[in-house]
Amino acid sequence: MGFLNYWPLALLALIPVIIILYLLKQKTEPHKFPSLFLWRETYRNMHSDTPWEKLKKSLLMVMQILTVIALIIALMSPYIRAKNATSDHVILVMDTSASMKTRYEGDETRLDIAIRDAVSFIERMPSDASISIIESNKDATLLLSDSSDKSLAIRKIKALEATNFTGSCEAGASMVHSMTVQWESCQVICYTDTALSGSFSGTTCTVFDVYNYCENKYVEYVGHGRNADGSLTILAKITNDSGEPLTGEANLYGDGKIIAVSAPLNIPAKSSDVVYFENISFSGSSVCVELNNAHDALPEDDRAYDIITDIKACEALLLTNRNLYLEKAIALIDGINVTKSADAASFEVLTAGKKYDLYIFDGMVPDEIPPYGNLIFIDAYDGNICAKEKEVGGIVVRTEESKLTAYLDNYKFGVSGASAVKLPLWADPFLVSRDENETYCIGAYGAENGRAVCMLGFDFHNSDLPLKLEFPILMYNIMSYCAGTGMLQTTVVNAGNSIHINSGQENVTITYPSGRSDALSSLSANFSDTGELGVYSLARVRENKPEKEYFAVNFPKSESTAIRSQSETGHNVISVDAKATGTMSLRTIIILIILGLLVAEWIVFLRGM
Amino acid sequence: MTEEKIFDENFYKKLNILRTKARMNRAAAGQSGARKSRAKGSSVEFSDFREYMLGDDIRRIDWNAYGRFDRLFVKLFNEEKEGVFRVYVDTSASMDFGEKSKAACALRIAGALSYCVLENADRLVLNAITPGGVVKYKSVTGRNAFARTLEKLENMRFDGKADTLEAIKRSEIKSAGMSIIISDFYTENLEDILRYLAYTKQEILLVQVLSREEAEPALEGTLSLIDSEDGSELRVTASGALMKTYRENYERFMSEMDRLSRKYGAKHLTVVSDEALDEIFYKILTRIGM
Repeated sequence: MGFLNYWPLALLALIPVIIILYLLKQKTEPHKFPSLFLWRETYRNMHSDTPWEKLKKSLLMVMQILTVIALIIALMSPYIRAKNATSDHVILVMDTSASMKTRYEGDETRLDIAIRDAVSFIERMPSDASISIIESNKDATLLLSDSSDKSLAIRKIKALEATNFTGSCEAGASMVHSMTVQWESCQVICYTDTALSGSFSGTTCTVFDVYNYCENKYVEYVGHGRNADGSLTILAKITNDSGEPLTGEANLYGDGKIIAVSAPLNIPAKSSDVVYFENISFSGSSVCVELNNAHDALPEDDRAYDIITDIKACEALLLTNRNLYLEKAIALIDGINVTKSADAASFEVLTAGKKYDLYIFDGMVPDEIPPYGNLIFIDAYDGNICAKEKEVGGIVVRTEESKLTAYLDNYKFGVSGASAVKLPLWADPFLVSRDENETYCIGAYGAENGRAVCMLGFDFHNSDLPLKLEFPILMYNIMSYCAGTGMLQTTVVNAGNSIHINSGQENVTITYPSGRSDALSSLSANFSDTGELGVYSLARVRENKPEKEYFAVNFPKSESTAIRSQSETGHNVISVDAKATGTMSLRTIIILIILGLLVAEWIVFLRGM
Repeated sequence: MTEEKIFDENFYKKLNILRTKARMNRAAAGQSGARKSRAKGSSVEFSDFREYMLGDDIRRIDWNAYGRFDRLFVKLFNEEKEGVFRVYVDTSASMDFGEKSKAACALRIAGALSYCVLENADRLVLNAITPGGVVKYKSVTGRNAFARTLEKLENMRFDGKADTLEAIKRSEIKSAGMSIIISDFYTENLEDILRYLAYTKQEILLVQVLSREEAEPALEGTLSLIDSEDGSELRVTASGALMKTYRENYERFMSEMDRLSRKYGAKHLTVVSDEALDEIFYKILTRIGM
């Protein structure tokens, strides 16, 4: 046990004062008695009592002295080192991911519970302990660093709000590791509703699990198709993750106004179903499907949005020397009008007076790359935008996780001869090859001066890629990325995910679902402020024509499904590291002892002992 | 001592209770008197015959028997003697205490016993146990001495600390009889007193007079108790535990007195000063079998 303050020891001087007061208090009254013969005998008997019996005679005084001693100890702020107690340095990692919005009975959310517990924890900490606070969702944010200002820490904690982002405390793990190396003893407290993996191993970490079992029903996604007559078919996948069948209806909203109601739903417990809205005549920009009878713990995921877009034909210029694989793949994609040339010298003629939306250079490049339009380089290098770094042969190319490799997880193919592409700052790799020592970028994409650029460092003829089933998918992804002429390539994202906005040379104004507007800088940008759920609009003026595009941000499905079964929840407090030690204040316990002593004194006084 | 009338009208009325003869055995050791004695003497009451021996009073020879048996017999008669009662009154300061004064009670008891003694034509020797030793009054007999005896009792003063054993020794007991000691017996040498009295062939009656405050003290708070005899002080806090211990000591003190009394054939009687006079008298009669 240790003490934080030693000045209260001076108050020990009160003890002699109490004894003196007792001596002064005991003024005796003379009382004449015939003979003290029996009294002296009695007095001798009393003095032959055991020490405890002697003590009983001055019980009240002894209790008062004990009370003063206990008070002094309480003022000295005693603490002990104990398991699950606070250390000198405490890092609170607060999970503010979307699942923390899940409500307990009543309106209290998991985050509210976490905040309440964290505030209580901070209040119990020794006054000189330092506190760091990390907010963790998709990213980690350091809210407070090594501060002993408890009131500031409490304010920071109370100001926390749950986001619509995915994530858990895991995002804060690396930040925690970097902070803990500087301290000898440190305790990490995680408030989360998600089971942690081993990311906190090596630290003394205690997890306060605020998970509560609850029933959730949600709209997983919304999609649309345009019929031949121009009407729409809207589909919505609805999941019932509760223990009871989901009844009621789903409402379809178009630009915020209800336009259709589904047939009565009857989705059994723990299952999903797709609901169709057929022949919807709607000329607006966005639709939303909402459950009207969910009454669940997470209302945020009871609706999902989709953007209705008209396909605009893309004019593409292809410079290639008989690449059937490529031509066939492009032909499969709707909305692309291709002009083909096998001679790079004719490029100038073909582009005279005409701006193409997309230029595809397969094995050749013109003398001058046009300053406008999106670009695809296939084993073609201009040395500026697309440059060769190194030639490699006999490699296995693997996909990297990116929007161009969607649905192609861990896909690989062989290439007999390729060139490693020099990766510009604005580009990300999507095809790589690794040998023992190095990783080569075989495919990269990115936005260069407001236009989409995709680079492939091999000829299709030198690989088995075109022979694989996934080839059209990869080509579709590449073409979808590069063929877009608007500001957006994607129209629906999950909250927290960034969306690429190709603003070009013009200024773009973005309007959030809440109504607030913001100006985006020109050129392209990865817009990541997607915390609000709903429909965002982008507006710009291009060639004196106003343009408006929309994208929707939906609640992340992974957070809706972060509902564990009851058996997984265990206790509300789970310590993931039994070795977690720190200091625990004993002041509250001692104050309770003081109160107990005061009550006991009162009883002793009343009984006249 | 309080200025209350000790021998008042009530006292005289209650004396009628005591008009009973006390059985006296060892007490009959004094001069010839009205009390039947085991000793053979010259009274008119025939006791027995025995053969004449040289030195017998020839006037007691039964000549009729001589005529019948031709041998000399002398008649024996019970000798009648007076009983000797020594009454010791403790006049130490501790007796002058109590809402109902222990001293007044002791004097009334002494007066009542004197009445019995004198009424039975026995001899009364009144002694006052004082700090200086003993004040031995001249022995008296006969009813006429009762008034003088009460006067002596009334004139007794209660003061100081007295040594009962020393006082009794100084009273020079020369004959068998009954010694009645009226005191609170706050002494450590009670056994010595009883042993001495038994040695001097005394029938012993210990009349212990206590006040209600001593028998059942009702003290509260922290007190400085002052001994009325020597003025010494004792600081006590009248806690429940202390009062309990006092009561235990009191019971032990009484038990010890009873044990010593039985050991030396003495009779022990405890009187609380606030008890009614007739009640006290009946207690005395019952205890000593008068």
